[in-house]
Amino acid sequence: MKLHPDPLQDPRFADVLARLRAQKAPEPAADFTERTLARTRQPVACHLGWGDVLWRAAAALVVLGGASFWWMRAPAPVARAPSPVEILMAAQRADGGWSADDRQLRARYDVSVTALALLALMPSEMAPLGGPQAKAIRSGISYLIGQQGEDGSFGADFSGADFTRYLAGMALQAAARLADADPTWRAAAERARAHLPDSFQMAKLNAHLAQPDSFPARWADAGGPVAQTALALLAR
Amino acid sequence: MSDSVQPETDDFALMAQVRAGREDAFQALVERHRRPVLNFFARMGASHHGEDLAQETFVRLWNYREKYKPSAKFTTFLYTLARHAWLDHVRRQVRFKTFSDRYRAEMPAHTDGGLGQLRKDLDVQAALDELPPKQREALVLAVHQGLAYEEIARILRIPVGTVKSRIFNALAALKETFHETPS
Repeated sequence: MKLHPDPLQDPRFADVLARLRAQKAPEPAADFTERTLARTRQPVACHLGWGDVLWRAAAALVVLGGASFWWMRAPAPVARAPSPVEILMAAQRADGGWSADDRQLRARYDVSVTALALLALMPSEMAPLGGPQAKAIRSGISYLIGQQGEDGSFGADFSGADFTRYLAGMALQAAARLADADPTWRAAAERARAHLPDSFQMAKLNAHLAQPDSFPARWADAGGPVAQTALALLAR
Repeated sequence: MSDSVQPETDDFALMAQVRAGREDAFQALVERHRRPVLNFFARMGASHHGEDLAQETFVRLWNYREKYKPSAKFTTFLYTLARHAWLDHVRRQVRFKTFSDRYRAEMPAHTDGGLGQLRKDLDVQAALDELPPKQREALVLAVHQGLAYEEIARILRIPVGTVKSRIFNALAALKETFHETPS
């Protein structure tokens, strides 16, 4: 292909340029400027005097000495930490849902947290419905379908309309694609599809799931330990 | 004459005030350029870190305000900072096998409503993401940020001819990709 002196005016690329220019620019958050200004006011670096440095070094040596003494005397640990999958399975409620907190005080997050837990559990096995998580996945999906309205939406009782619809819709779609999926899951996923957020919002939310480290901290905090465990599992 | 920043004040004048430590002038610059800077990072493939990187760019603008020389266009300085923030981010970045990749692969070719549009948006961005980084940054600065070839050459520190050839090659690669996957 012959090089045009001005590639942006090259008629051969008109359709490509039109597609690129049709990409919607993201909208900054309402508090973008405020947060930026706040960041400029943060101290850039911490300058320590020699006295501080010596004092801190001495304190670190004392702590290290104490820690090594404790380590030499302490018996070897025998219990291993539970895996994220085990934590999620243990946190599931009898009705199949997951909660943001132990005492179920934040029920408005239940659908989102349940969907997030399911999205994390489903890819953890090659055949999720043939593995040890099958029961948890089946009861979790039943819980989600139980919370779905007749029109396929997830009601106003739940927090973050876009986010709830997105996570629940994605969990139902992912479940409907599994081998041995219950036929009713596909129908539920189809009903949920009609209520998914707009494409731009979907792309943004997809990006959060694509890279769970980028998940807004306040969402992860609101979702509690279950959401944080699910995100850790998704990040693997 | 009022001491507050006038909306029509140009970037040069605002930067002169920023250099003097005027926070209201800095705020006006942030508000004027935040959307295109955010779009730059989104098109470079960092939509989920975009806000953080855009903020980082403006924080650097504030920290390096005394290095700014009005001999060059303000946007040249701004996008040089943005590009450095992006390159630092890329160095830190650990790539995951993304949920989006799986989702895109599993989506049916033609779906209705929002999902169809989502697929198109993801496909265009995915095609951009597949470009070699040097081609992509030249293309994004030209097409999405609307910068002149000369300005891009200064930001990337390469000859204008190289800018044009990178953009040409990027467009040719995208044309081939889109031809294989029509909208």
